[in-house]
Amino acid sequence: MRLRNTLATIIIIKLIIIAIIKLVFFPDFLTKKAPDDKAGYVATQILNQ
Amino acid sequence: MHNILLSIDAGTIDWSRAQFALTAIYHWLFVPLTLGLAVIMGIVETKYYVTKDTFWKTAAQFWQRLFGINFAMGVATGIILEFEFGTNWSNYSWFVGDIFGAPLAIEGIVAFFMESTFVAVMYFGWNKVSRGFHLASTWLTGLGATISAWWILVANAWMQYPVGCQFNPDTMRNEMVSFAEVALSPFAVSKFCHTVTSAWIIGGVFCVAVCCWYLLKKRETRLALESMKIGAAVGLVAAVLAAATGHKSAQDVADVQPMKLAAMEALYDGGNGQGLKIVEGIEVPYALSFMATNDFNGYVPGINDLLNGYTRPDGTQEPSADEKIERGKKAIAALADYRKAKAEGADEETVNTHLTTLNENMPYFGYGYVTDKEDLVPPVAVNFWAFRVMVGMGCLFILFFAVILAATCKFPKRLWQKYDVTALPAWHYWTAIALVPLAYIASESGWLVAEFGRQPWTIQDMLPTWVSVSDLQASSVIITFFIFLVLFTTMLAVEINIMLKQIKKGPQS
Repeated sequence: MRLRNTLATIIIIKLIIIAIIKLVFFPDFLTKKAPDDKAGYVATQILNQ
Repeated sequence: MHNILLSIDAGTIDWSRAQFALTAIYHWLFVPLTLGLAVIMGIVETKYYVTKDTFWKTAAQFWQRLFGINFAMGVATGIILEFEFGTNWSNYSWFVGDIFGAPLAIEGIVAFFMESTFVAVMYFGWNKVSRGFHLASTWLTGLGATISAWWILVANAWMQYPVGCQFNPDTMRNEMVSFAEVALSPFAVSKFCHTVTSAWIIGGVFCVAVCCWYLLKKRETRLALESMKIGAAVGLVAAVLAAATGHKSAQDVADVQPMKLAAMEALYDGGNGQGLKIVEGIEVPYALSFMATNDFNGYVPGINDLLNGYTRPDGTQEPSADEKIERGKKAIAALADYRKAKAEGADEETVNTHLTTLNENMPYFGYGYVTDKEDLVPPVAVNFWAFRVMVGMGCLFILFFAVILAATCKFPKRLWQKYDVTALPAWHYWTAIALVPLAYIASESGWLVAEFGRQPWTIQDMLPTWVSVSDLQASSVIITFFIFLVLFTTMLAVEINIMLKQIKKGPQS
């Protein structure tokens, strides 16, 4: 039982750390944009317009 | 590194590459042991099912416990890898559209759920479900892990050999036109077979090493001897299959990534009847040609041939790097013109002209971002030595498993009857234990060959790394690189610690 609890605790801690890192360091470029705007954003990035 | 995207500095690109490499290398410490132990615990439990001997039940539970520790520790690195495509490589993620997303989604929904469901039955189902159902759950756990590997490798193979897709300039995404071509790409099949068999080798080496530790400590002798036979048999079959599938993989690489093969061999000027270098200056005559083409006199292009263009054996001409770069620039310009014409409401003929130019030059799209053709050459020294470490260790493991299997099975009897496997000098056991890290080094070397060898491409010929990266602050990537480094190293240390404790406790714990 102790082994199961240890592994479950480790997994939960890891997922919390990952979620915090995502929120703090990696802004979301595309989610809030409309589909056409998303394509336009990536086109700007890729074509360097 | 040539970076033409003015808003993204080189630090972001190189640190993003380093961060992805770090995550992938750590993830690959956990995955192969999961795949390898899945086979071993399945065979051990099958022995229990057939014999009804409770010894095999205890043995199965022991190997399943070690499998579970490794499985739990590996989950997080896999999740981070998938997230990194979106966080660090968002241009790439959008550009590849659902082609790349589909295999990852199937992996997450089907394979991982299957694995997770049956792993629960495997752990909590003893004495609650029938022996047959429990055995099926154990094998299905391993099958789920293997199917999971299949879909991940389909995604990886598509990056190395993009098939079954068409680029849509309106959405700026590649769209899937044939799921079968993507899912059953010959590159994916070879990669899967080679990767999974190499993972079984690690399972075999780990199993034999644990057994040798018990023999060294003169405890759990029956478990050690019986498990060692299984580990060595799995390892031997896997090592021979890995050699065969490696040969097929090499041919695929020769077909679709000849620059990778040339870098693996440090072959600058190719030709017919090429020898395979053991090290610089010593080579096996004609072996490279055979490895690449199944013909001892087959033609293998070198790095200079690929940069300057050459005539293929069938008489067709492979364009030079300069020609490809020129055509790539045309494709990029045509894409920009097409989007501009559409946005300005230009007439259909103008739009179609740009589209035709784009489609004609699309196979070389990625080359348009390359300013110096030398950037098309992957790191030769890394590829050359990583390939030799992988192949050299693979040959060593065939010999290792053959000797262990022969010694434990006492075959041929006349040769082995004087040897008592349970009472050998300590260095025999320590040698087997020392092979565990070497097996990982060999396996990671295989991935170094695969991933360094395709540089500078994220998607072969289509998108180089410096165009694929997200417009992030370099500082964000650097800080998270070190956070991940600390996190993964801690996780690895914790796993090794928990694993060693469980091994020390033994099967009765």
